[in-house]
Amino acid sequence: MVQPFPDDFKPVLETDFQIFLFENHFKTVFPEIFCLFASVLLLIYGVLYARIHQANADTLRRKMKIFPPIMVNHVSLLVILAFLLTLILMFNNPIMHATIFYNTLVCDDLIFFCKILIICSALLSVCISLDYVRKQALNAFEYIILLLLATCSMLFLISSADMISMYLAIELQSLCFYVLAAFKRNSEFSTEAGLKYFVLGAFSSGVLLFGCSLIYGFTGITNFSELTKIFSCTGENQHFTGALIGMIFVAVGFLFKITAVPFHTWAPDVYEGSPTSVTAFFAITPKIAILGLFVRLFESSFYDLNTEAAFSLQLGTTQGVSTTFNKLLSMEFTSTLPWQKIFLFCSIASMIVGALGAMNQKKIKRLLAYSSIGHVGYFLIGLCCGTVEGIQALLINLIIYLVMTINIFAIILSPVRRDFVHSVQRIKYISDLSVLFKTNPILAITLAVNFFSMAGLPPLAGFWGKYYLLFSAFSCELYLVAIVGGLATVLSCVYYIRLVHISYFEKIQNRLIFERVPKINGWILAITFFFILFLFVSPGATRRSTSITRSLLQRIEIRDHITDRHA
Amino acid sequence: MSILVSIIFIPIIGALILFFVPNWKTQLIKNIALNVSCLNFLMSLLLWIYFDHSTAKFQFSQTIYSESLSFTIAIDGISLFFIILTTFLVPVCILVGWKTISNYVKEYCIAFLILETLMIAVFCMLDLLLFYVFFESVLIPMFIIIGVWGSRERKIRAAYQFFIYTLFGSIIMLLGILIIYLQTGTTDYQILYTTEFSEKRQIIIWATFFASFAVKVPMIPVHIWLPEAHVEAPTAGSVILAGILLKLGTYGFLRFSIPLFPYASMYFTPLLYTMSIIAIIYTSFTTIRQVDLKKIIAYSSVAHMNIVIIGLFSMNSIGIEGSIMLMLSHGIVSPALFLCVGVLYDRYKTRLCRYYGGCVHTMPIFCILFCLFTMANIALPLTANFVGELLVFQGVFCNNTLVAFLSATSMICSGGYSLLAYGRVAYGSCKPYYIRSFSDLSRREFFMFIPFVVVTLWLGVTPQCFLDAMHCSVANILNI
Amino acid sequence: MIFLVVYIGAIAVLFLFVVMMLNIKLAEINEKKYRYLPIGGLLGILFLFEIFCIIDNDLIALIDSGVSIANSTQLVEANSSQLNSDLLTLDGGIAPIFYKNLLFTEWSELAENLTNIQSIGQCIYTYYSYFFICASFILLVAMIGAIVLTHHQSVYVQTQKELFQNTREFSKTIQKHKGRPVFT
Repeated sequence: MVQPFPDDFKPVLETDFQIFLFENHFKTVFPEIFCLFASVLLLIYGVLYARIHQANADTLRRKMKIFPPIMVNHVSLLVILAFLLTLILMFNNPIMHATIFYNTLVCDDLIFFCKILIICSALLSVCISLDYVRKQALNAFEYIILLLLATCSMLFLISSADMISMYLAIELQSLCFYVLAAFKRNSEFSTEAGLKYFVLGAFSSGVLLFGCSLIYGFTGITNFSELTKIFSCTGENQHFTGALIGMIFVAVGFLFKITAVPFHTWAPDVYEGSPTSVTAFFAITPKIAILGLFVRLFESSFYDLNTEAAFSLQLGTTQGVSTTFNKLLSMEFTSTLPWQKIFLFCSIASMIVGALGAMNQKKIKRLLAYSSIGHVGYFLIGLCCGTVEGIQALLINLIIYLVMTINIFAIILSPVRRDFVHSVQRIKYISDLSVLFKTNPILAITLAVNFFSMAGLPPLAGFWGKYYLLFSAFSCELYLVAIVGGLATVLSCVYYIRLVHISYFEKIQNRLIFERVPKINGWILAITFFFILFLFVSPGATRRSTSITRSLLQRIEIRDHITDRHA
Repeated sequence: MSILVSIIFIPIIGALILFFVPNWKTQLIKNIALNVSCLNFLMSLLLWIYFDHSTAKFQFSQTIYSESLSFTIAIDGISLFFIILTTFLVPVCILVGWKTISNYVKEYCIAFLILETLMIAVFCMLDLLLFYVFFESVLIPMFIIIGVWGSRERKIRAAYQFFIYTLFGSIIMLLGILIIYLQTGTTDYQILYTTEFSEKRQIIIWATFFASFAVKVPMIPVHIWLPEAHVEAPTAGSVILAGILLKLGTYGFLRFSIPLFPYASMYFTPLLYTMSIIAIIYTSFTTIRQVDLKKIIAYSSVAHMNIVIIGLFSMNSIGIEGSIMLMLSHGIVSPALFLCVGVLYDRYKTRLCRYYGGCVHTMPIFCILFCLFTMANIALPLTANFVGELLVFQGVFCNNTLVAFLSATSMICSGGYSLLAYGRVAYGSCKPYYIRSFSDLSRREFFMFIPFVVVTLWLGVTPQCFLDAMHCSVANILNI
Repeated sequence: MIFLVVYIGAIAVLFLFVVMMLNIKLAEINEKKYRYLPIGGLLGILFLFEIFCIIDNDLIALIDSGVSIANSTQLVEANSSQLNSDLLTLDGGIAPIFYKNLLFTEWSELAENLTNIQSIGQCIYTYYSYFFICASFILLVAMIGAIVLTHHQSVYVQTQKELFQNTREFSKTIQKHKGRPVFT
């Protein structure tokens, strides 16, 4: 389908390089290209439209009080449309498996799946924040365009097959995020959030880049699939200590971005400070992208990176490869690999810190930040299993987490009327929930079910996610992390049911009234609520949806090893 | 559509209907809920009528296949009576709240109907994982019931304790289930029943199951939640807690721990005996110094449930049948006592003994009933508890005389604290300083008590018709 | 060399901008200056030490030494395809045939007719076109961000109207009022 790129690529400067390659390459990434074009067009549209009206209104302004138009509403609607179209294009993409642009981008089933998730989450988070954006006077249409661009960059991030493209995509994404975090300029918190995010994000990007350069320095390779080959065929006396350190740096850089525990300190501040609609976006979408990338990076590229060099060269290349293959697919292996150790540590620490940190919070967004830290810990369990079950559990959990988080943010973003303070028209403190059961019982039930689900109580969706994770952890003998995961569930239950208790049992402390929930939020709440409640009717549905990963991971491996054997 | 499936789904359908009834039509809501739960009770009696006593096979089985999940629901002689007990108690719970529950009536009824479905599902689920799922999901409505309709401020603490204790145990059990699943690749009970586990593995899995069931029973170090939850829950909540939820733990031991891990059960029997005897003696003495009527009943429940444990692990059919009988009779008598306390509380809004006295003069009908149930709690012959306790002690005596002797002290102690409590409430002089107006049972309350009286005496006088149904199943469990 | 100088200059100016914009109070810095120094310094030194240790051992040197030959030989056997090809040719790792025939690529001849800019352009627009586009989008986002965060889109902005100002007549602007002065 797509011309395979020659393996022994030499930087020869020929003028008559293959022209025909562009025909298929652009088809493969057509949804992303559409997304980018949409963002640029909307930007131009917004700028021109606003300017024209401003120029017209300029002379008349004094007399007639004509203000420049507030673009954000209809630009948001257009962005939602763009997301939908991207989704349609994605589903109808003729080319599903390809390596394009000279080994810089890759498409396969796993990537396809993650892309769909990313677009869905971005779409939903824009939908639930429509009302917020309108009422909160976030009067700049650039906000929504930056969101679109960030989503695009995540699409590229997940399909990147090269260190450089990965780094560029993640830079694009984080740059959008810095601006989004600081978007509410009249708020001190937002500015602080933006600055903190910027400084720490830049630092983590630096660490990431350093890691990439170390890996390049010690292997001479930036391509993921090439890295797989070089690490899986190393000899006994071949120690990639430098590459190991590079790998650690890459991991640290990414763990910063998904707020895993030793690198999580920025998360509560940033989540709290940035506008709530942006927080909803932060809480879900980047995690999907980066975890998807983690799967590709660590389950295939760095999988065999081992200082002890488990596979000797004397056994021959093919045998070593088949051992790797068996190891990935079979359940049993005893020694943990170096990358597994990192993720095991981070996972355990995140679960514990997420559970303990959330207990004493007063503001709902900080609490959700800690809860998302805890969830990242659970995701990392799936990652550090290193088996197909683990990846599957990770993806299932991502779907469930997406649904639950959208649900909770749809509630937080629904409007509230306060008696005394007029500036904060949303739920801000946890004690604000105390009116919920008395004024809006349906919303209260939704919230309670969602929190029980997040806590992982059985018949609800959250339990099944955790069940699959613990199962995969057990299946590859990671008992410690499974047990800690179980206990952390109990710990996190304490603060989740504290929220339920506040919304159900406590006397009303704040005088505020829930207004009518916006229609689109209502629909999203209803759908997600039913998903959470009735997943147990057929928990395999999510599992089936991720079953593509099973076939696909095998295919990745087989493909790699076949090329390996030929080379 | 078998009877069993319809029994599971009737309460849910009722709850769905209630969901669409407007909030302010409280009378209609209560009527619907009561009728639905009574219908369910009648349906569950059909189970007993059609039940085949002569076989240990699982009956009324309905296998549900879907791509990801296939499981069987069925009952045998053990779970039959627990299902009937559940459907028997839920209408009572709705009746109890008839007058006293004034706010959130709809939610109250829906919560109890959903709870009923979940509890029935626990008892008839033949899949380990789904058993766990329903076992655990009972927590959610119970948490809400204690928290919303509980009487005092302390209820929140009680709800928390109940929730966290139980969840902690259950999570450990989940890990055990995962180990089983990894070894066998299935969680179907009937397949696991024929599976052999290695001894070491049996011990580990047994211990994880124990963590969960022991909290529910409750065994001694983790029993703290029970008095709290009982005291703070509304009367109906206490009825369900004492009647059904405590039985979930012992049912789990009987259904899973003993038949699936016979070696580990033998291995841990001394530990269980020790813990149970400590619990029996300790809680019996604790009960004597309690002043809160609900706490007295709660602690006596702990003692009784630990006798049940001793009976279960006597590992002979007499002991196990006795345990089941004791569970059933405790599931009748203890809720009835809670109802009695509820009657007092509804009138005088206190549960402390010192405010009551001389009720026999002012509330004669109540005192007769209270006396009857107190006697049943002491295990007087011809009442329900007597049969169970007698069989348990007989079973243990075959196994270990010392244990039988020590656990039999509970009969004396229970006589002590029950009579003490009854005497404080019923006899002595009236205390008009505290309580001025008196009224005996209303008609609703009287008719609420009648079934309890009938069943208590029935269990005590002709236990054979209950024992007949469970012989085969118990023998089947022991035949491993 | 000239690129380097320009680049460093640009970075330096960037830092200046950042320092200007941050509005840091000097006193605050002095207060906390040495608080994190010991632990930070320790970690930094450890880290540097480690890095240097590795670099000495493992890094594939551009200029050959005895150590790196062994490394690269194994790498070749291990099917690493992306190693710098002329390096391999020179150190004789592949086969002695190359030595016998003296088959060297004369890179200088090949690259002679291209300037730096040209060669960068040829790379960027062909093999690395994706990176180029990506980078351009990063710049776009940076621009949007800078505008959004600093540009105050207020309705009551006083804008300059040059035409209006220039066509103003002096005689009409200053008038003599009688009575109370009026300020407009």
